[in-house]
Amino acid sequence: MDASDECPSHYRLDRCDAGELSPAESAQLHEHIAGCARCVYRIQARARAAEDHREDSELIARLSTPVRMNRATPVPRRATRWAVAGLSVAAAAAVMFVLPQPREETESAGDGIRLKGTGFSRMHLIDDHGEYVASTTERVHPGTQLQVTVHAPRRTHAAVVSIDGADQGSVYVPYTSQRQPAAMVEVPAGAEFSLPQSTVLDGVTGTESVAVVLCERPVPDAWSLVPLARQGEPPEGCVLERYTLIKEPRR
Amino acid sequence: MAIDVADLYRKHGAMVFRRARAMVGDVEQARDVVQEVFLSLHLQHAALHQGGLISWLYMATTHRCLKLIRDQASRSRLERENADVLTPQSPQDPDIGPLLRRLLPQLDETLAQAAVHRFLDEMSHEEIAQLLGCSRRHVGNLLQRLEQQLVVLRRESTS
Repeated sequence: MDASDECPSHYRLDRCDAGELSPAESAQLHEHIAGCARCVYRIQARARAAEDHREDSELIARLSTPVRMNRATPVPRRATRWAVAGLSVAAAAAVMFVLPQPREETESAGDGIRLKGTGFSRMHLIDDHGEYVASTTERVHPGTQLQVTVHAPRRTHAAVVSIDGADQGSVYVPYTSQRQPAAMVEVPAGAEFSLPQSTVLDGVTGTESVAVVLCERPVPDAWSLVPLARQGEPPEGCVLERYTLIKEPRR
Repeated sequence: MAIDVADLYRKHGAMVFRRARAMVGDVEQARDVVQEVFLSLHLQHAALHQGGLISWLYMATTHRCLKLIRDQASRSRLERENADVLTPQSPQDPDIGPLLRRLLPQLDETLAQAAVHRFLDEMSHEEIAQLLGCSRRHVGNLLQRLEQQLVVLRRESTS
């Protein structure tokens, strides 16, 4: 354990605090600290560095709220892409894989983008380094996986639409195999709900606009919502949140 | 596996905050990182089977902070900072944060992780290898590359 090649690393101290070391390792570490002025100072500094941490009661409440995750068939499928400019079908450009993710019931809800009166949505991005909750603007890469969850106080209806850097429009949720009317996904009230499909971003780079649209009553065809990914007001009774994904090639 | 994420947050939130603040240098951003890390945890239960909780929290925090630091806005802000120190002489440098925030955007992901674990977390080669899932030799190579980049940055700052 070489920080000074004698003193334990912060990682080792944290693992000790968490009870992850064996009793022998823990005893050895405590013995070192007891005789090391530098380590005593470091431990005091660690405590000072954490002083501004505040337990977030709202976060605790969300982390304690049961989450209902829907289950989907784990079979990769393709989503249809649609030329927004001409509002024409572009089935040949079907380059977006949709990977329904099997989800297990878990025990937490999350923060996210609050959609006034309707609930809130969270976009999760999953890449080589793990999963994180997206901000409204994110840098992503081809292959990054996108999953949206919605928490609604009452039954609502959801769709996720997109216009990519090549002006191709897509309906990510609900999944549609071709340019056919697609009904919005019904979201039950009261628990965080994972929308049925997650999406693996394709190789089209540039700025992709994505909108999560929540409506009290379902819009008959989710394709009509695609232009909202970039601009416009949602239909009456609907709210939306836009995300900007700056898609860059992998280095 | 049932995990009480709220309980884990109560126990380890301060640790995540401490590391996040040291990396991003801002209390509010560090709080955001804490929130995001624990919100992600409930979807990452499987990952906890593969390694310890602290390792997972370290990796998740480092990853999120590196993303923040690389964010264009953060980069612009950092470029305006008058960081007159370019490299620590040893891992025991008392205030490594400003250096790291200046250095990290210029490093690739793996090298940036190695820099954080070496200089901020004061980890040994063996611990870094364990956390990154690579060999000690690879860690040695990474840190050697890091030293070379530091030399270049030092030259650039003095010229």
